[in-house]
Amino acid sequence: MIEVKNLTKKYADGTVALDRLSLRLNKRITAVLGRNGAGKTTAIRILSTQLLPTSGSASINGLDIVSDAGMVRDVISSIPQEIKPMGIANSYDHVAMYLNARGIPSGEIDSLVESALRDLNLWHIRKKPTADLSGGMRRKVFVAMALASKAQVIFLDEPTTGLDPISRMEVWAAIKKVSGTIVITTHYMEEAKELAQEIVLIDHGKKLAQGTVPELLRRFEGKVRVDGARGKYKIGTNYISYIKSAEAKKLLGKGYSIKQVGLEDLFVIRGDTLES
Amino acid sequence: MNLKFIWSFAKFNGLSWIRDSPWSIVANVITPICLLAIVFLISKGALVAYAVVGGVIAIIASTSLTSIGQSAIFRIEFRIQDLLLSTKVHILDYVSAFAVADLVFASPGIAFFTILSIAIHLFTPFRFLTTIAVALLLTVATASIAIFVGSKIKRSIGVWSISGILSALLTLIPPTFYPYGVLPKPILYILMISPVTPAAIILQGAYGLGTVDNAMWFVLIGEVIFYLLVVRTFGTWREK
Repeated sequence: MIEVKNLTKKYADGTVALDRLSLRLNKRITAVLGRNGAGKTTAIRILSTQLLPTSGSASINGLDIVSDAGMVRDVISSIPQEIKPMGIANSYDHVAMYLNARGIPSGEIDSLVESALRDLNLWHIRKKPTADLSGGMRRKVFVAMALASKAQVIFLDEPTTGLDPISRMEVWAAIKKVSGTIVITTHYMEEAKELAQEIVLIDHGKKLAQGTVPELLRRFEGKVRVDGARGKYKIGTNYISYIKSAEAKKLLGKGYSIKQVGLEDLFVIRGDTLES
Repeated sequence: MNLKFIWSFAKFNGLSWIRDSPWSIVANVITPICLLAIVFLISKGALVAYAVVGGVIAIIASTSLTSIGQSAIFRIEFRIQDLLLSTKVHILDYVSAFAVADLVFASPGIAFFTILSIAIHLFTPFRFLTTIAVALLLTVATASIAIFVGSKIKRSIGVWSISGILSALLTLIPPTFYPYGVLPKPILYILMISPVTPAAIILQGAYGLGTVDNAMWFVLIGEVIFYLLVVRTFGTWREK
């Protein structure tokens, strides 16, 4: 169980990355969705004991992330978003080094590394320097670290960014096999839907919404999205509005694009209550 | 101390380079070899023993001080520090891991200069053991300085310049390649800020190139403790 209360992070340059964020995460897999700069990575870094909060508190399985940081580190594994492998070392050594860092007994390391690398289809290239691997393969090496870690809580910050569709599916399958609690940040709505029992939407350091996909989309019930030259919300040069399906039929053939509503629309309306 | 991590990181960051990138070993020894050649030519061979003894020190110190750049890059660009922060690894484990990796990576260079010392009849088992002891202490002290400085660097641009400048200042200005006796005492005391200085005085004494000054052992050990405390207390590990 992860509990976050009024978590705030203000950087030295005045940027407020998290603004009194409060959350309670108790599902097996939770996806944190948000735009670039929404505060996802800052939240994950604070929860992973990499960064100190400015104010507020958070706990993981009852352990405070500031005062009990050492004990928190015993139960978590966290893979940073922009992590890069050290090119000269191979995939096997990367995962083994990480397990050693986590204090996994030596006798268990070989089998854990093999299992994680096989799950992610990396076993056949385990001895190749990571410098010779594709970007997607390198990303999977880090996912393998987390999966092999046996941690109770795993934080994966955008684990599938840059992966091809098949590799993403391999990562999803491997994530589903892990027994611990997983918090994953992503830009991909379909990834959140595929993996998570609960979704948290963050925007400008605040929680926008939290719930299952049907719960989150309930406010759009009976509505479709209309993109065109007029509408309530302006995204770039495009205007968007949400109207009842029956009314949308009248717009057919008039230059509007009519789409089914998805999770991304929660970012478009940013917490607005739609008129019924 | 997480010894398993320290060794696996050293394999990762030291042994892999020796195994897969032989040119990096050449790059590591090329400056001390060039300085050795210059000292040989200028002194017509008279000071070559200083340069051989100094070569060992220069290789150890410059390898460790290169970790300024490497640790900064690992933190800023590679995010390896964040990865390790969320594990049981302590900042002193990280320093030790760099120190062992540096020592492993420097070992071909140390071996090269040891062979040279045999060739010019400087080698004795006692001197070799003294060299090993100094090498270990010097590596820990310089790796601590490197991780401390590296942890304070905010941007990756210019990282290698800072690394290069500090490496030159702390390695080549102290009496590494010349007799420490030529320095006025006040200058020598100022240069004690670099652990290279007591290391050079100890080795010059042990190799019969200067007066034996056992107090330098205390200075070197004191610097090891001091720089470990500096990195432990003031080094940026968990960010604020």
